[in-house]
Amino acid sequence: MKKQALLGISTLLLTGLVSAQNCTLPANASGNSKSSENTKTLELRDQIGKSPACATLPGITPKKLSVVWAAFLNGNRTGGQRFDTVPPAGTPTGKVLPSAQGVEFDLRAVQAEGLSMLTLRSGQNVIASFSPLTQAIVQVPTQQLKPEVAYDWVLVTRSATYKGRFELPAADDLKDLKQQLDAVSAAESDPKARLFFQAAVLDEAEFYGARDKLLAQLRELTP
Amino acid sequence: MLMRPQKSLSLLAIAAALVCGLASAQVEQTAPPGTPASGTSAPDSVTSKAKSLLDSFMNRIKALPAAPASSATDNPASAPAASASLAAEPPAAPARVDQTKVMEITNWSTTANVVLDPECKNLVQPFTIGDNMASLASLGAQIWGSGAVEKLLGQASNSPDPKAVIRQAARGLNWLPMDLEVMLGQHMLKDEEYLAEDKNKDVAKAYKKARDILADLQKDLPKDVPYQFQVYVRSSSFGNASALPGGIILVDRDLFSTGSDPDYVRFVMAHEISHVLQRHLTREYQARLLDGVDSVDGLKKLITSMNEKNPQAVLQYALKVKNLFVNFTEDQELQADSCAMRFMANTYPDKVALHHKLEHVVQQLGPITPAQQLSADTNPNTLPGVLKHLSDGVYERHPNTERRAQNLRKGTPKAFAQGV
Repeated sequence: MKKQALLGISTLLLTGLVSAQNCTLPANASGNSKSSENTKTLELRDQIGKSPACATLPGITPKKLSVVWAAFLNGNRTGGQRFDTVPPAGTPTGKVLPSAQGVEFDLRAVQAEGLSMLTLRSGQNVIASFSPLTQAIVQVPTQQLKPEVAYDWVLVTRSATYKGRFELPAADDLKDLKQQLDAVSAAESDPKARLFFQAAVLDEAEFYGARDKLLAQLRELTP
Repeated sequence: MLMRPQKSLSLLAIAAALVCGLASAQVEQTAPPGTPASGTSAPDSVTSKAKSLLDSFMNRIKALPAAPASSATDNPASAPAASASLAAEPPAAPARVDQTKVMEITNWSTTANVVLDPECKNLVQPFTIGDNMASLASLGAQIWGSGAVEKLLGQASNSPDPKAVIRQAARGLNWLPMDLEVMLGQHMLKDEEYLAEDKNKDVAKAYKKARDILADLQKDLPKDVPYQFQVYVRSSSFGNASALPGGIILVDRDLFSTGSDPDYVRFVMAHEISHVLQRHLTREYQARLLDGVDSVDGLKKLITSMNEKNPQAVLQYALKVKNLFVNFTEDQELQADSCAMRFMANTYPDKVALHHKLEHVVQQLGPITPAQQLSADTNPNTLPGVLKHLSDGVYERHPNTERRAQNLRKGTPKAFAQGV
């Protein structure tokens, strides 16, 4: 009896907390120097503020959503003078979400440079090597990789050398993440708002590469 | 140390006059036969504009007793002899910014990259109004001494073209005021994506590590360097970093993750600090104003006016404009590497240790492949490719691993000798 009462109270508290969550993006959320917002993005912004998916993201704040919104509007724009050439967008970076085929290297963006070699290492150990590199999309099977281990890759084309590092998440983290993504899917039927909130989930869990893929899809839907 | 507004304005006025006055003369010198002039002035009016510009320039220099402690004559190493040749080898500049630094403007080239010092003899570029005024005064004395004015007035002289002299001055000096540089950096930062420091413990740790390295590197700098360096950690993990004008450094997160090489991270950050201290991006903007605006404009007009007449001429001109920027950024990267070596030399005073650490850095730059060695010069440049390159505004290109490795290996003994 007491247990039931306690459960009732905690459910009420949780509901109260969830309903208090605010997903309204502030007016200057993009933070960028140019005004990248148009009618369609303004519509999306309103939709995000009202979305039922907001309730599925515990701990989400307008500040956190603003970061994702800015990434959506700014794309992968970078300025300044870099130490090295920036790798193409389809290469793995940071924590990655493997597909059924494995970890993907989408090299189509630099295919015209003349692909030469792709090497994957963990410390000094070569895990995989593709030379000559004949495919623009390379999958490294997950069976060859261990979770929570850093893998360094080097891609060589006829024009440049690109480098990066990635790791696979622990199985439990992956399970939690999938649950959150599914919860967003169930709560939000609109594809654009759904993509945005799923990107927010990935941002919070630090899967930035996967987040950027969703934001790229969202950009295509919101030209 | 920020410039006083009045002095900044005065310098800007000179710079603006230089830029505006010379823009019309640029295409005349760089375009191939058949290229339409981008300016509206006829050659006569260009000359008369240049003369009036030079008069105004010289009047300003004559009225410079107000540049007291920073007068060129205070610095025997750089005081110009009245009869000195303009093309003479520049004397060694002082190494620290706590003295006035006079930049010798002695190279005569049609591109802006010549002002770069590939060995990084000066870790910090002159930035104060006194430095710039002293450099202008030095140049003024050289112009008078060389007979350039006589040439301008139509009298016989073997001196360089005065228009080139003035344009070179505008390229060589840092005339974009420091406060404007800081504003530019802050403006660019708004378009960058970086992690909030309070996102989680790991991010906070990465920020701490980055700040510790930054502080350590700054210890080696003169105390009066005016930049207040700031560091931001990016979400990407490409072992990369970038610098924005005014002292903003952005670093990839993986540089601070477990297993990353601390010497490599130090080198990368020193490289970025060097971009700022050399005012690379700021000078790139200056150079684009001088070399780029009218060149690109000239190219557009050439394409518009030529129709089907001579595609080869368009390609040649387009390649010239493209290479102007590409070479510029490649040289800046090599210079930043050389400056970073000097930071490393300060950290590792032992020659063997320094050599070992730099070799380790070289190995992490990536492999040198035969294909890559061939690519830089053998890839065909097509007109659509060049035009896309220019219209995208993608002027940046990094030197390949082979060039970077050669530069580092060649420069190691010099870096050791110079330190910071």
